[in-house]
Amino acid sequence: MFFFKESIDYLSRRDYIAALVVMLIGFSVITVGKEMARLALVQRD
Amino acid sequence: MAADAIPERRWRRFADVVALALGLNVWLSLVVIPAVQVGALATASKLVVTLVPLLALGAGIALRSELLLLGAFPSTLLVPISITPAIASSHQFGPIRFLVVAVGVVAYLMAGTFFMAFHEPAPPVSARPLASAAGPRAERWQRRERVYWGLTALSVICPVLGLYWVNFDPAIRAFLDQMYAGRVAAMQTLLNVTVLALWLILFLHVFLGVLRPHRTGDRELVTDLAMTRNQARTGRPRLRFHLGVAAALALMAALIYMRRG
Repeated sequence: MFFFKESIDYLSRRDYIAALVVMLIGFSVITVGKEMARLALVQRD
Repeated sequence: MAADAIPERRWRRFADVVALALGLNVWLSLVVIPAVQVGALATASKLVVTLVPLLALGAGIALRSELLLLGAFPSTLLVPISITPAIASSHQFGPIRFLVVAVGVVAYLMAGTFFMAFHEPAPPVSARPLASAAGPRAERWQRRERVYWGLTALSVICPVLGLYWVNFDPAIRAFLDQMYAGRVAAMQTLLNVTVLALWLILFLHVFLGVLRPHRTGDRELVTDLAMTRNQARTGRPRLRFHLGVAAALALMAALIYMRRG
């Protein structure tokens, strides 16, 4: 959520490239978190 | 059989009325009332466009289609807003009114998803509980239920927070007023649509992506779970984990370089 808020901040400042980069960082972090959660759930089962 | 069918029909009719009432509430609070306040119903064409969402709502309820109720109806609500962006301006919605409208939208979405239950197969003639049902629920099922409740809460909190930041965050409003003088309403509408579109992508691929593997009885799923368990036994994450970390670090480095450079 933090990365998407930062992305909105950059958009409001018309810094479209930075907004896109921050949004992609957010998606990458979500991917990493999803993999970690999946690994933790499967290992605990 | 006939006696069971009557309560079933009444229950479905009640669900139809509730979904219609909630849908009308969303239409009135999001489109009609703000449109009247900004004078966006002055022409016949704009009035017709404002009535279009009712067609999607009525069709969705008549057909009990989740696609129409959760996809077409919300999409058609954006049509009058895109023609007159001032309808969605933050000046129309104070924080309390925004909260009330958000609760109404969430209630409608939950009512719309309820119709999915009407596509389930008929209940069996008889049922017998499993031996394990007599004992206490296993810890892993309790853990999964906590995860499901957490994901449900995030499903509500995340889009509401995103919309609140776009429309009510003082710093973002100040920048929009400065950078888009005279076009603040249009830019806010664009940002609102962007937040909702991003959230929809996240919801379908991340939230539902986590929940979908928890269904049982699916052969492909069972195979996928077995492969995932075998892979997890190695104690190492999959390639996409490393790619995600590398991409995040590279993009952060690029952002820092852009800021410094």
